[in-house]
Amino acid sequence: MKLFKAPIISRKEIAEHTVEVTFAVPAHDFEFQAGQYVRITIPELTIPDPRGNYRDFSIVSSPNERAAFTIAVRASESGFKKTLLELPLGSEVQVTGPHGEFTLPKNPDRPIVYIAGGIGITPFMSHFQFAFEEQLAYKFIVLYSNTALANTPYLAELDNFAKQHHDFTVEKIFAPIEEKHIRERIMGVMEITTPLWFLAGPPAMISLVRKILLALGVSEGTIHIEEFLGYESGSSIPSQAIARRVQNREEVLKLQVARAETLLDALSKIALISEDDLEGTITFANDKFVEIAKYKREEIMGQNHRILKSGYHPPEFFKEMWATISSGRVWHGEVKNMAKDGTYYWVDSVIAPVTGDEGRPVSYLSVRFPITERKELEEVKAKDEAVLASIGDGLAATDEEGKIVLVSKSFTKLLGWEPAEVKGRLFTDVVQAVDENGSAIPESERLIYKIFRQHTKLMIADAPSVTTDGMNIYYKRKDGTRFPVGITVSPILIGNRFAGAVEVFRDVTKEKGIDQAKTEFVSLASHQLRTPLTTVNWYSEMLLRTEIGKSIEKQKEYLEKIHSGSQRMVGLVNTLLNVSRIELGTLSVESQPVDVAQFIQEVIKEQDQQIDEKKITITTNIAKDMPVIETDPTLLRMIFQNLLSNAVKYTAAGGRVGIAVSVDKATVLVAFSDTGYGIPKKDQDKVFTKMFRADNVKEKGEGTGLGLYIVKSVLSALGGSIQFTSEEQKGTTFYLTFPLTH
Amino acid sequence: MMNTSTSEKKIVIEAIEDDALLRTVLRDKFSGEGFQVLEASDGKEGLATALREKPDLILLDIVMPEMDGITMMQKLRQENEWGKHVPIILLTNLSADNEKINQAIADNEPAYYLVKSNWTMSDLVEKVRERLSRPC
Repeated sequence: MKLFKAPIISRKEIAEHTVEVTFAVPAHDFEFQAGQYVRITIPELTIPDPRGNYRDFSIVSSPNERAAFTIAVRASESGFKKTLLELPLGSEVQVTGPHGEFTLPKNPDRPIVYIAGGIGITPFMSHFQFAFEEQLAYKFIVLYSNTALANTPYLAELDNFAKQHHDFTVEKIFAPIEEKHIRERIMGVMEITTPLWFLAGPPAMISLVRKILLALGVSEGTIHIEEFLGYESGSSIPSQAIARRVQNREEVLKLQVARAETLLDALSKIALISEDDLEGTITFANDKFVEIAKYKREEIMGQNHRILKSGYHPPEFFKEMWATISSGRVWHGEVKNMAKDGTYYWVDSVIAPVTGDEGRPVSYLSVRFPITERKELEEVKAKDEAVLASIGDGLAATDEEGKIVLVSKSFTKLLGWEPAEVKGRLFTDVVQAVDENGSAIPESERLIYKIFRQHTKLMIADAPSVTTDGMNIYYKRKDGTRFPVGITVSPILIGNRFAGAVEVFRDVTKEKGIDQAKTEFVSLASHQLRTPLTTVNWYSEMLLRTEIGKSIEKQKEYLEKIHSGSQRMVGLVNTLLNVSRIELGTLSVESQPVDVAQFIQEVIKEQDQQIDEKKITITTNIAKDMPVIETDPTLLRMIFQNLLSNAVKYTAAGGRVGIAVSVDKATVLVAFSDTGYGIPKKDQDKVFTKMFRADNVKEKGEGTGLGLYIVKSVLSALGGSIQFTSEEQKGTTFYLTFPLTH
Repeated sequence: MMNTSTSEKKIVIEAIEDDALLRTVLRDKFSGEGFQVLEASDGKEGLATALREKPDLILLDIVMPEMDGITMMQKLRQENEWGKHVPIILLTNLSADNEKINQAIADNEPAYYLVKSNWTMSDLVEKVRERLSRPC
């Protein structure tokens, strides 16, 4: 408490007959709590007053304002007030204070209902301003009654608070307060929680409101009152009223202790209760605590609480806990502890600091509820769900109505639906199925529906899973695109009870692609084999039948054609066999000396006819120091044959093909270039893929799409590799490297 | 004059086939049988020749560079009145289960479909004669 002189620095009329008076605090050192009051003494009254030269006033302004404080004064005929309102600015008064306990509760977790009559609003204004300035999370409900609008101060301020803070509501009544006001306007809060009640105003109003509240079942211990006596003649709080309030408090305290003891007894039956000193030494432990921790009481008393640590929580967990309780706040969390026998138990734990006079903790009280069973179940469930969620295929489990209860991560990956978006929705609504033409598959034909029909309609207890064998079903993603799926749906049976279905599905685009490619390949191969077959058939027919009389030259020519057709067929069959050797991994390498220059000439000679037909110029450039290499000539031939026939086939008539061979240490380098059509950029990463043909050459004569696949596979069997550069309409150069000796 | 020249004029067939070996033997066979044979090695060339020379019948391969046989047939049928009615025998090595080809044949009467490797040349000549003897 302080005693100091304070000059009046301003006055402001805030409503009819209501004036705010602000005093300066010269030393800037006046500390008070929101809701407290001061005693103002005027050393020399200019107008005499039989009640004396001092009055008590609640402070309106916020305690954060250190340089000045403000009170609100109802004008009256009293000599004190008249003097206070007439003294020239700068006149000094004597201030003592602060006084009173009408302050904000420490903990903002219960809402506060303020019921104010007239100028009784003043201490509350200080509460509100301070709470908002400090951003404290109080919930304020204000019922403000005044006899008339004109003399009601702070209306604008209260409306502003309500506008800016959603935890602030204000109800105004311009009439004497009645039971119905309280019942209708504010009792709703009781249904949600137990609020604290702050009442301030003239004694008659306070007494009435208190009676009403008690009748409505409000606990007396939650009501705080501040009576503004002498309301008619000004705001002041005589010491009588304070005495009465203290008396009330003692009664309340007794009752509260009795209730607290009862509560503690009841709580003790189910909760572990303990008290630790500031270092965490256990100074009290109830029976339940001893039972669950499996220690004898004498073993646990005086031990540090650390003895129960399980090692499950990281150090930060306890750091945060200590930071909370040592600063006087309540900590709440779930803790895994270790009992004496090494087993673990979980507790839902509240640790509340017991604070002494200075607001500092003196000990810590803990209440813990055993939750081991729930935690263990949670862990098992979390593990089960993690297993299911991690399954590599799309997975969705439904309840017995077909609503999704669980999906795997791959479900999200495949369909684009997040778990939160689909849980609780019908599977068939979320996952749309269509056929290969994009038409929706009716619900009754969905696989999952079949499972439901078997169980719920046909009552087959052990109906088997159903799958999409050979069916063309596509699933639509969230974005509307679709992909072919392979699905297996199985019933979920708990004992004999049908509890839903679980569907596992995967994207079968790749499998479909392979199937398609195989079908196309068989068709292509047969088509291509038929052509040389036809050649052989028709020419031999000419020889055998109708054209028997033709000249020897003609017969010779026809025999050559038959031979050529037969050669083509042999070539095709060899290609197919080579591919199957590569696929089966039965490509064997038998090395022998090879003269590269001679070898290349042989390969060129084999294709002389095609080269001549297209008037392709072939340039070979073999390094002079080229040694004889050791490799498998059959495999090497396959490589050169394919590259050369490709170069000839995919180069326009009159073009050029170049073959350059050199050696670098133990590696043979081959550059195989042409001035052909080139490989389009978009196809470049696919040219070595089996049965791939670039778009720009599909129309340029027959081809199997196997040549480069064979080249790459065979070359790697020889320990070599291949790369290329290519530009459309300019040509392609393949660069081959393989070891000098294999 | 007209009658004489018509009776003396040889029946003209056009063989459109990208495989040189097959084209040659078709020419030899049909020439030997008394036909006049026009040759083309792809659909584009075949279409130009057909429109210019108006052969009595066309033997048409399907898988060919530049323009495939089906496309050529459709273009020819749309081109003019003669093109609409000239008989076409599709000579192919594609299998008969190809739906697209069957549909094209149905849509482009008069057209026939033969798998080359299943036919002898003599039977092919018979087929052509039989086709030509029928009224259009």
